[in-house]
Amino acid sequence: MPLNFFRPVAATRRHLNMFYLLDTSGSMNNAHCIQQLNSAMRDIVPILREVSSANRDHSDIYLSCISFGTEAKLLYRNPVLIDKFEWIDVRAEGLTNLGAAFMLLNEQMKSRKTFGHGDGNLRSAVILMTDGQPDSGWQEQLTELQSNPWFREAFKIAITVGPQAAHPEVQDVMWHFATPLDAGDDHLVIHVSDLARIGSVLRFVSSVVSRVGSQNYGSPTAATGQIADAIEGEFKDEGVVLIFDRAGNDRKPHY
Amino acid sequence: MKNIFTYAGSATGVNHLADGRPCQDRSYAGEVEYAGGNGRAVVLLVSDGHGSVEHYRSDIGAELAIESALEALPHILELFDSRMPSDGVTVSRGVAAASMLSKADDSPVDPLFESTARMFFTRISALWSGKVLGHVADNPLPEPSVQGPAHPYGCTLIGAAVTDRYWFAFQLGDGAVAGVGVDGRTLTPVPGDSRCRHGRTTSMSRHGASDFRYGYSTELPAALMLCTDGISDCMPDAQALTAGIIGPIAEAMLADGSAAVSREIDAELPEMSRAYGGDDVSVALWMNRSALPDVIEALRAQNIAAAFQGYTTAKRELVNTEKSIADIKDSLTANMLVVDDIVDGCWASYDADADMLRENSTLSSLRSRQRQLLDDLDTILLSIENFDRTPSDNQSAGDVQSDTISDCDTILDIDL
Repeated sequence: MPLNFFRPVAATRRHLNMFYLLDTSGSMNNAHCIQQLNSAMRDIVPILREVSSANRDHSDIYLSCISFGTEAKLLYRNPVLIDKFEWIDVRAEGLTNLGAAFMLLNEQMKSRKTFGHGDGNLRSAVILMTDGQPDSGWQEQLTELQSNPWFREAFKIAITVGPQAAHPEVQDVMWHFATPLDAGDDHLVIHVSDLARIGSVLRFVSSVVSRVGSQNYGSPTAATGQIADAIEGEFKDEGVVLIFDRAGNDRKPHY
Repeated sequence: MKNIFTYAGSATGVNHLADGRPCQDRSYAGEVEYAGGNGRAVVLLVSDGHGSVEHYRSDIGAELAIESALEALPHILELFDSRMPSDGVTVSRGVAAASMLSKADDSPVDPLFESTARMFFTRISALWSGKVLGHVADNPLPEPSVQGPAHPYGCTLIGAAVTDRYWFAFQLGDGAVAGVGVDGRTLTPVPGDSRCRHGRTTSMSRHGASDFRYGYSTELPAALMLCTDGISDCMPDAQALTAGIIGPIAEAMLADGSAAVSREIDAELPEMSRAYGGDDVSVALWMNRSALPDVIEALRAQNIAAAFQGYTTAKRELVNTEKSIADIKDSLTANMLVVDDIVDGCWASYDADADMLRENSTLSSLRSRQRQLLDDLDTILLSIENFDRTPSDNQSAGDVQSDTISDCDTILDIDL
């Protein structure tokens, strides 16, 4: 008799969920930061589509985007498959309610709409971009978020832009956000002082994270290290400051 | 032991073939001689070399892991043989460090066995490291690895040894050990490890003796199977794994005989890779042919149960997806009414238009998922139709299928 293995569950591609937390406060209007952000988000779509179609382990990439100004907003109510994703420009106004963004992210990371039944999901990636001091209340929401198992094992990358974000208090916030938890050893915090580089940094980080995230790594440390190595290799010149905590080094940002 | 069927095979993943990577899985089934008992044990081994670029020698690492286990096994079998109680005992132990959240860490601990097992794992790790360093000495790495010379060789290791009196299974990394008891029950002798999921795994190159998990029993199973994550990740649970793979093999073996079945599995493994996500796939099997007729009915029932589960899961997600689609359609309709009332050119108009465009993007993604889920449901129904079920009472296979789906929908009505 022909051997016909019984397949109770149809094979589906694995999911890589990428979450973007994007600062759309009024200060992002300075030096055309918001235009650069919009342009970069448009540009990453074909890059991620290419990664998704070419990746080794048959992973579909889903994007979730949360903007935060005076309030946080889930731009797309469900994670969107990269093949169907269309970036619609956001505009900048208001304050920097990062706490509300953390709360929305936590809600989305708890939702079945995001992860289905959990099987077949790769580690998520969370990319945060901001240019300024967050409003009060972020710490409580971050503490709550850090108890979410999906967040704990996600790649977490903070990108700060402009002079305000170089302030030690902002860097401390980013440092807390980028605490690896269950995702290895490296704090991945990037400061972009040359505002003309915002787009290129966001594009490169998205590309590297999606490529690494869609592969099967032996350890989270190796995967996060791979991201750190790639970013370090790409941005050696002035204008982009990398703040990493490589294994064994207890480094904190000092400005 | 008589009337035993063993098999081990690996197939290169279709993704590996597509981008020119070798098969990084290795598998083994054979006999090992040791001092004690009747002096022979059947040994099954599979090893999965990590697939990422930085583990560029993981196929060699997997080969060396199999060699290391084969070298270390005779001594442990000798020790186990002298220490194994004669009465029925089944033990399942997780990682040594309690903080590692292994599910079965609260199972009974026999300090003597625990120390013996950990000694065995230490021996395997040491042998593997020695072999890797030897290979590096003969074939220097193109550039030093910051994570140590063994890092490019990273792989998992799963093994089992079956003697005529007891069996013993162990695992480091992802993949699965699953079996069928002589009463048809699904056996999961090796507990899970929370570090082995979502594309992560523990590794021979990074973890050691304390990270192995293991189980042993004096109750011999009807069948035992090891597989790499190319298969286990695509099955919802151990029951689906045993019923879906061991079940059809058992039926084919009773119908066709061992030699034919080995060829059939060889032919089917590449198909499994194609169907299950493209990774390398490996299976190692031990089956007691005498016990199979008694468990086949149970395996069939489990297949039907797994189909229930698969159908229910996909249907539930489909219902949720369709609800989201309906919500977005409502939202778009409502938004269009709002937009009509907003003066063109103001920010409110811009925001409303942007929201509608984003909703359309989300809608398109949801529709894509809806089509995928409908295809999944068709595949599940086809599996049920293709399942060569001999009705055990006067019920026809068609009746069974109809009942199955009807029951699934009843479950859905209750749960939703």
